[in-house]
Amino acid sequence: MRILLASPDRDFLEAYEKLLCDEFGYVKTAFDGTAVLSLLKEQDFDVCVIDSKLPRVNYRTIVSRLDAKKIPSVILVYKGMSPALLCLKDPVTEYMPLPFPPGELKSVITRADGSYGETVSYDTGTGNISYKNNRIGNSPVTLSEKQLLKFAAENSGDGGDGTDIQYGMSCTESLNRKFAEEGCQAKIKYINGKGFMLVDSR
Amino acid sequence: MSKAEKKFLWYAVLAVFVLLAVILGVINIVNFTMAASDADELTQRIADQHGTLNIRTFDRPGGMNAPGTPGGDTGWGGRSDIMGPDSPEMNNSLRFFTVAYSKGFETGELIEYRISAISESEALEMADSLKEGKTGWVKGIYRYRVYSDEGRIFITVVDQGRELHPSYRILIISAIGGIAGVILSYLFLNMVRNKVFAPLKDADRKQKQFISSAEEEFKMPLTVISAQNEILEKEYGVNEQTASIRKQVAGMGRVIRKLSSLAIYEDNAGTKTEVDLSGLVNERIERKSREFVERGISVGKQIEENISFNCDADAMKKVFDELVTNAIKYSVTHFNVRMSKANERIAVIFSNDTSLEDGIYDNAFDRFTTLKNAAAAEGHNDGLGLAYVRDIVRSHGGRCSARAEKGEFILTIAL
Repeated sequence: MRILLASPDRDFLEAYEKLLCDEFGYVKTAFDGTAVLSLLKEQDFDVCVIDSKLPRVNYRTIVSRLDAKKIPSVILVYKGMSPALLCLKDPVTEYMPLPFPPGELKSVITRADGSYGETVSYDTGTGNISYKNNRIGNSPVTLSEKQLLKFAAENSGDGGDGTDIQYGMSCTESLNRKFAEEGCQAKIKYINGKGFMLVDSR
Repeated sequence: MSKAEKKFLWYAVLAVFVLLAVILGVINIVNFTMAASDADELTQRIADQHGTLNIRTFDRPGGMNAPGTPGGDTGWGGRSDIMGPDSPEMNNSLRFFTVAYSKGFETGELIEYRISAISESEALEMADSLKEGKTGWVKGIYRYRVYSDEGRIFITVVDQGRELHPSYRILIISAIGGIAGVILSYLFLNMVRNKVFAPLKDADRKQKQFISSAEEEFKMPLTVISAQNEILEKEYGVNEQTASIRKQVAGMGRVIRKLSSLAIYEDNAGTKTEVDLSGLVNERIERKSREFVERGISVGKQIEENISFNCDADAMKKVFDELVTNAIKYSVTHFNVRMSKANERIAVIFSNDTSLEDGIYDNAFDRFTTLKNAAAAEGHNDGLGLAYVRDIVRSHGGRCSARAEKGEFILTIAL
């Protein structure tokens, strides 16, 4: 897997270049946004990990370029995973709130790879919800949101209530907003005794 | 208006109300007491004169203009002895009647009748009704005295209506003035509360900003340390030092995540749904049951079933996780949880035995505050857990309190 790692923190780049290289084989690093755009012109990558505080070029510009090339992006954020962040229209594959252990980043990179190729559809009983190219309609969805959606759609009430899903409630709120914007007749609801479920919103 | 501002406003207005009530109350009580005293003096004079009244001009040599008499002939001002009961005009202006009874209170005889507002028969009736008394007010404006003289019982009733009129006027003015004072103080305090609270709000904002900036600055270094530690472990193997680094980084990561959660929660309170709170509390305790057993802590539960609550399920789960974790850390031999619902109010009470002295421990809910028993407890004590609990509970319109009583630490959540 070819990975692009971009951060203004050199120690971070040094440590993770080694770790990710050992895991995935090929890693290129960039210290600022301009370097990232140059690298993207020269070669293709499978996944890009970008620090949200990258200088020179705003990360959102880089994410748009990556989305155009269907390259998954993992954005390192400092403020935590809030519904407001998830509702931004940026086509980010996944947000990674700092701090995190190395294993978590490796896991997210693995899941992000190939995510643009996924097409998944869930039946709500009266219609269906589907995502393709990391989008529900025109709204981008992240890996965490997809994970919650999968749980909610498949939840039969006997496998736990889903509140262990990381960022579950933030993702519930953001997904419901996106469903409403796209005119989907569905909603994720926390049902007493059963947990998160995908229900008809009417 | 924040809760603190509301509280300040209410307490300040209450203080003004209490102060005005006390001061005006005392003034009016003294006023009426003095009126009663003046009236008693008159009835005593009548009693001294066997039921009648004949106040003569001053018996001093020279009369009113006698040398050394205060005020002399300077007219109004300084002649307190010709105002009130001592006034020579009292002879002609005092309205009263006296009824005399022979022993046994058989028939009353009106021996002095100098009153227009009451007829003779009414006067006798009134006197009959006052036989059991000694002295006091009747019908609000009449002062009476019952006394014996020459073997007979006398009842004198004096009309003090004109004298009491100014007192009642003062009472009404006091009441109106008091209410106006309270209203004006509320309006004034409401006007100035922004100025009063501005420094506090500013300090609070700066504190949050500082914590937010500080915790952001820690995030990248922690991530880097974690990564470098993994590299060391890969190259040289896991050892005590790398295990310790991993543990410390994990601990600091928890603190940072809690601070982030607090910040996120303050900015965006989560979606609320109807949650089976009884089930949630039971489940959070069950999850940790093995740890309770390992530590030899007995668990008591009195949780009313089917208590549901409209709340952020994720946040509430974290609240009870935090409380159960604290129970494991700080309980000595036993831990108890009670949950009940009455009149739409839910009370959840966590209690455990403790070495803390008796007292109120509401400060345990402040950020970065740990109590005296925290040092002896195992595990990480960052002083943020209960702050998070309080913020979540408050965002749901609830209250938290903590106290220690006779060796028990009692934490109460009211929703």
